[in-house]
Amino acid sequence: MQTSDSARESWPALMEQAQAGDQRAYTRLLKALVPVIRAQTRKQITDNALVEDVIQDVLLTVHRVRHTYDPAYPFLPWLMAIISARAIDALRRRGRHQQWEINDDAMPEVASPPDAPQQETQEELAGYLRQLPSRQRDIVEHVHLREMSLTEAAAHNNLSVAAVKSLLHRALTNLRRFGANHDRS
Amino acid sequence: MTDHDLLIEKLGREMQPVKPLRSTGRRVFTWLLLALPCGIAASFLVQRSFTDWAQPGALQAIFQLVLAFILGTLAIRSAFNISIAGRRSISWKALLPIGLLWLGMSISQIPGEVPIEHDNDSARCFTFLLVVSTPMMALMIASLRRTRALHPVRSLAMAGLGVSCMAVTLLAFCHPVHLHPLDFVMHLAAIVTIVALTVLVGKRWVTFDS
Repeated sequence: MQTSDSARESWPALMEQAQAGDQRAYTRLLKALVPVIRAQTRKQITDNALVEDVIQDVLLTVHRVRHTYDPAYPFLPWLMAIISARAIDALRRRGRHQQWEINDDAMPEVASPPDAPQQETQEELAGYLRQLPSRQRDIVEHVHLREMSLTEAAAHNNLSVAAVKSLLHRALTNLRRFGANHDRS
Repeated sequence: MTDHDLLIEKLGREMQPVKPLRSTGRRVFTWLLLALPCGIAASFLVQRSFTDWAQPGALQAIFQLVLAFILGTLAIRSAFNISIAGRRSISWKALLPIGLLWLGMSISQIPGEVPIEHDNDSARCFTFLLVVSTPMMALMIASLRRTRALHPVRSLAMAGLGVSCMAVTLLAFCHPVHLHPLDFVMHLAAIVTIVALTVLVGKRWVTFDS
C-alpha cells in the first residue's frame, strides 16, 4: 500500500494530537505507519517473520518515546531513526541466537550428557511449568526458553513491558517455591 | 484483525497525554543549573585549597577552564541530541579540536626544566574529580532515562565526557595553576574512569528495554 504525500503531511499534526491525549488520532497514526515501517524494514531484513517482529518493536518504541517527537521537526526522520535502530537490534539478537544454535550443533556427541537424565530434567522442568498459571508460563517460555527480549515478549503477548516484568517476577517466585517444596519432599 | 491492529488498539487504550520534551538548549541549561550546584556541594567532601589567581600563568588557566566548560556543554548537548531519534548531533570530530587545545594547554602548564615541589596531591585530584562528578553523572543518567536512548553507549559516552569536563572545570577553582606531570596523568585517568562509569552504570537505565 503506497502512502500518499498528503497523508504523510498529516502525521506531525496527528502525533501532536496524540501527545495531547487524542486516542483516535493516535490509533489512526499508528495504523498509517505500519505499511511504512514494513517497507522500510524490508530494506534491511528479508525474513518476513522477523520483519513483523520489528514492526511490533517499532510500534512499542514509538509509543514509549512519543513525547520525544517535536512537531517543529519533520516526522519521517524521527520515525526512520527508530525503525533503523530497532531493525539493527533485531538483527543483532538473531545473530546471537543463530550463533548459539551453531555452537550447539557443533558440540561433539561425546560431550552431550546421557539421554535419560536429560529427559528426566526436561520432564521435571515441564512439570514445574505446568503448575504455573498460563500467562506466567507463557512469559517464562518466551523470555527464558525462547530467549525473547522483554519487548518482544510484551509484543507477542500483547502486554506492556512492565506487565511482562511483573509476570516474570511472579513466575520465578512460584518456581522457586515449587523447587523448595520438591527438595523438602 | 491482525496482531498489529490488536497491539495498536491496546496502545491506543493505554495511551495517556504526554508532556512534549523541551528544546535541547533548555534541557542543557536546566541540567547545568542543577548539576553544577550539586557538583560544588559534593566538592566540599574533598578538602582542597582555592586557586591562587595571582600566580603567573593564571590567565592561561582561566582560558583552559573556559575551554573545559565549553567542551562539557557541547558534549552534554550532543548526548541529549544523540538520545533522540532523528536529531542531528555534533560529531566527536567537531569536539576534537577543543579537546586537543585543552590537552595542549595542559601539557604547556607542566614546567619542563625546573622540577616543581609536589605534595603528592595527584590522588586527591583523582578523588575530587570522581566525587564531584558522581551527582552530575546521576543527574545526567536520570535526564537521559526520560527519553531513553536510541544509541545508549554513544549517548552515555558523550554524557560521560560532558560530566568529566564539568568536573575538570570545577577542579580549576581549587588546583595550582601549574601542573605536575603526575597530576596531569591522574586528571586523564579520572576522565577515562568517569566516561567508563557513566556508560557502565547508565546502560541499564537508558536502553529502550529497561
